[in-house]
Amino acid sequence: MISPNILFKVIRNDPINKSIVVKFCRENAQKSIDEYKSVNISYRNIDFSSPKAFEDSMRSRGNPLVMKQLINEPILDQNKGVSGIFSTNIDDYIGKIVCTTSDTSGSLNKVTL
Amino acid sequence: MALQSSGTIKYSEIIAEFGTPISGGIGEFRVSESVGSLSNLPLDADTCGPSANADIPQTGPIKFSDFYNARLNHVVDLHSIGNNTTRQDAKLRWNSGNVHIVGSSKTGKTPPPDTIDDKVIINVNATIGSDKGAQRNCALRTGVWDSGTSLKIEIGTSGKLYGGGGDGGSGGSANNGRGGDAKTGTSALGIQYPCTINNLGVIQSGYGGGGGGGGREQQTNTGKKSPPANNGASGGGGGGGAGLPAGNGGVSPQNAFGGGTNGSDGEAGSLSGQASGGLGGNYGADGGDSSLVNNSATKGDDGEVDTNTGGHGTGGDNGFAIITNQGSSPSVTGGGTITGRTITNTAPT
Repeated sequence: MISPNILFKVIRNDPINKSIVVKFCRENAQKSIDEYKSVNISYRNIDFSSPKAFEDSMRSRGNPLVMKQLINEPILDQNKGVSGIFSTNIDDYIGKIVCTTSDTSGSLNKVTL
Repeated sequence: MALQSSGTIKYSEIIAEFGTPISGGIGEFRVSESVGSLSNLPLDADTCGPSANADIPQTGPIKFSDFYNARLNHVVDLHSIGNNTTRQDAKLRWNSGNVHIVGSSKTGKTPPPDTIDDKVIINVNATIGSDKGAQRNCALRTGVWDSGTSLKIEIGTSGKLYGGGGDGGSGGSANNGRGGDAKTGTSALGIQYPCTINNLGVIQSGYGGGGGGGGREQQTNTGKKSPPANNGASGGGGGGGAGLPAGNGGVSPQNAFGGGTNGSDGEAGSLSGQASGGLGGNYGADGGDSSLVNNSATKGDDGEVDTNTGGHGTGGDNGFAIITNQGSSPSVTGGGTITGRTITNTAPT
C-alpha cells in the first residue's frame, strides 16, 4: 500500500525527560489533527541529525499510527457491504455492495504442475 | 475542658482554661491574634456566651458571662512547614509541639497534655504532597483526637494538598511481552476524626498512570523465495499520573530486533495534567494515557488493545481528594478547589 502524506503536530516538548508529545494523522483525514490522540515519543527514537533525517524519522514513527487510524475509521452506513464472493456470475452482484477483504494469512495458492 | 454554659462562673475557672494574664486582668483576654493564614483570631469564636453563638470580645466591654461555653483554641502549625513536604499527620504535629495556643501572647499558656473538649484548628498554608504507594495514603491526615475535641481544618490560599500520581506501566518487550500494569494514584486529605473544613486552597486527588502497550514479534518473508525473518517491536510505556509527586512515564524496553522498532516511554506526569502514553514500535502497541484530572475519572487508560501483541497493561486506579472514616462527607466551606472523588467509611493511611 502506498503510504499517504502524514501530518504531525508537536503539542509539547519536554527537554528534561527528552520527549515530545505529538499528534499524527494523514493529510486527507476527515477530521482535524487536534481530534486525534496524542502520543509521547522519546528523543532517542527520533533522528535529529538533519532536517531530512528528522522528517524521515517522524514519518517513520507516524506511519504505523496513521495506518491504524485509517483501518479504524468508521464505515459509513451507506457503505456497509456483504462479505464473500460465492459465484462468478456477475448478475448476482448487480446493485449489491460487496466487501472484499485482504487475506493476511500468507497462504499461497497450491499450483499443480 | 469547656467552661460551663450557665450559672456562676469564677475567674479561677477562666484562667484554668486560658492561662493567667502576664499583666492585668480579664481585659487581657480581648485578643486579636494572627497565626498562619488566620488573622484577627479572638480567644474563642462563634460558640461562646449564654447563647453559645458569639466570640469572646476583642474590644469594648468584656463580662464573665462572655466566657460561657468558651474553649481553649489550639492552632496546629501546617503553615510554616515549608512547601513540598509529604505525608503529614496533624495529631503528630500537635504531639511534637507544633501548635499555637490562642491567647498565649497574653498569658504564655503552653499546650495542655490533651485536647479534651478543646477546639483544634489545623491550619494548612503550604504545599503538601502524598507519596507513591497505596491508594489510601494521604498527604495530610487529621489523626485521632481526644474525646470532645472540636476539630476544624482551615486551608489558606497557599494551602495545597495533593495525592501522588501513579507511575505508568512499562511497555512490553519486543518478544511478545505484555505491557505492565500502571500504579495507582494516592490521596490528598484523610479524615480520621469528625471535622469541618474551610478550604480556600486546593485539595486534589492523585491520579493513576496509563497501562503499558504490548510488544510484538512477527515473522516476515514467509514465502518460498526468501528465508523467514523474525522482527520484534516493543510497546510504548504508559503516561505518568498527575499529582505530587507526579508519576513517572512507563519505560519502553529498547530491545527491538529485525525490522522492528523501539517504542517510546510514556510522558512523565505533572501536577495537574493528563500525560500521554508512549508510541509503540512499528508492530507494538501504544501505552495508555494517564487519567484525566477531574472529579469523576476512576483510573488511567489501559494500554492499547491489540490482540497481536503480548497484551496490554491496565491503567492505575485514581486516589481520592478526601478519604473519611466517617459515614458521610465532611462539611466544606470556602471558595477553594476540590478535584477528585470523596470516599466515606474508609480508613485513610
